[in-house]
Order: sequence, then C-alpha cells, then structure tokens
Amino acid sequence: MPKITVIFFAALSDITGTRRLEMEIPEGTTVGELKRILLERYPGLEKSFQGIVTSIGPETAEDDEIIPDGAQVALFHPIAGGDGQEAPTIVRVTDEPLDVNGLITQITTPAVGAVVTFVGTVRGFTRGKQTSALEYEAYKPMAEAKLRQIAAEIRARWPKIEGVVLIQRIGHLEVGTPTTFVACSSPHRGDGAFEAARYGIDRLKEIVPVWKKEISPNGEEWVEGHNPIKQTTDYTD
Amino acid sequence: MPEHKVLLFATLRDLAAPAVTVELPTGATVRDLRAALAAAHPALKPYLEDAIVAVNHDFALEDEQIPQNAEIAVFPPVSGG
Repeated sequence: MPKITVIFFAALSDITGTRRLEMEIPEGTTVGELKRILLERYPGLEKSFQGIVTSIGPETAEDDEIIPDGAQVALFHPIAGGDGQEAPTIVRVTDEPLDVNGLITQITTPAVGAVVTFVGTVRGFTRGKQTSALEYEAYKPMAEAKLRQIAAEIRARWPKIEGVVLIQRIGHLEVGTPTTFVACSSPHRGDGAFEAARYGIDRLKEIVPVWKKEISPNGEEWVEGHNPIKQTTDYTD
Repeated sequence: MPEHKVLLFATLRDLAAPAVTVELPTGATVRDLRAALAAAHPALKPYLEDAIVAVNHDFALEDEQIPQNAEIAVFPPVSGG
C-alpha cells in the first residue's frame, strides 16, 4: 500500500493534535477519499473542511486526483496560505525591466491554482498617431503608497485572493516594452483573480501618481491624465 | 510666514523646478496654496486649476489645512499604466 505523509496547517493541526501524519492508503486512493478517511479518524475536522485546499507536493490537487506512493499531501485554508503565512503583496515603482516569470513564481504559493496577469506595453500607434517611446516619471513614495492601498482594496473585495503584484516601470521605454505588470493569484480561477487583476490596472491608472510623456517623430508631449479627486472648488485664479 | 517646500511633477516641473518654496500663513488651506503658487510662479497659473495637491502622500481636498512640516506635492492629472 502507498505510504504518504499528510501535513495539517494552522487551525487544522489544532484539531488533529499533530502537524504531520504518516499513513498507508489503499492503492488508487484519491484526494477526496483521503479526506473521508481523515474525517473518520478526526471527526472534528468536518467544520474546517469547508473551503479547504489540498496540495500534493508543490501543486494544488483536486478531489479526483489519485495520490501517488510517497506523496506529501498538505491540507490548509487559503487565507493562511500553504506555508502558514500570508501570500505576498509585491508593489514597486522601478526603472528595471519587469521579470514577469519570476514575479508569477513569487505569488504561486501551494494554495494557488490560478494566476491572472496583465502586462501593459508601449503602443506604437494611438488613434493614427505614431509613438516612438514613452518617458515615465513617478512621485515614487506616494506611488508606492497608492499601490499598497490598491492591493489592500483588492484583498478587501476578493478575500480569496492569495498573492497580488502591482508594478509600474518608469524611465524611457520603447514601443513594445512592458510598462506595467499586475497579477493576482487565487486557489481557483473563479475566486476573483480575473476581476481583481482588472480592478488593479484600472485603479493604478486612476490614482497612482505616474505621468508619461509621448515621444513621437513630431516632438514630445505629456499625455493628458486622469484626476483622481473631484475638485471641490471653483478656483479660477 | 512659515515656508513650505512644494514638490512639482511632469508639466508643472518642466515649467518651474522640481521643488519650489512658498510662504503660507499658519492654518492655510490647499486653496490658499494654489493661490500662493500662482502668485509666486506665474508660469504655473494656467495649470493649477486642474492640478492635484497631495499632502503626506495622500490626495488633499481644497478646504484641508496644510500642516507644518508636511510633504507637499502638486502635479497634473495622472497618466500611468
């Protein structure tokens, strides 16, 4: 019979009284069947099994997945994250190139089964007008504070979101270059990752103090922007 | 009158400098700051109506008083992304 190790995280280990359990399971046992076996052994787990996430090794596992011999099976709640820590919030205003793959890896915790990403790039044509490059400038400390605020708003609206990345690249960026990267990870694709990523880029364009100057064959011009607060004055002088 | 350093960005920075100093009486509001900037730096005047004022990294409303030693920034509508 296959021998496996079951790992209980956070509140689950309080119920089972152990974090680690070595056990033998019948050949062909699935994740769902393992959960039933564990429930028989620890009836107290029943309430906690609502919304539970299971992983085999580093990958999130669905209930119909068969558990191989020697597997390490982890059970945890998405809120706590697979390592018992909050999934990362990565916000940054930088003049370095964006390492998209590295950033995705950083928010792919064991609890994560879905990552939605958005990459904004420098467009070469806008309404028939040619752009050669964009020159980005930021009020960096405030921009990073606002990115943190957006990440907090995302977590408040979509509580199942695990990791959040909000990055604005600044400096002189040629056509085709990635300028913005937004990524949200969650246990399942239906847990709000698509909506959260869309919200993230929309809010970034709305409230983060960054400006771009369009450089075209005809000269340079600041791009007209968005006012994040309604003026409460009729100040004209 | 107490002096305040004001950071400028994008169009406003191009028209004046990365940072300027304005004198404001104690208890002056964001509205007063706009007027003082327009008086001290006439080149900025056409842009100040639409400009955004931030105090200590947060957007400030017109009637808000400017605290002593606050970090003040004035900039055009944002266009990042």
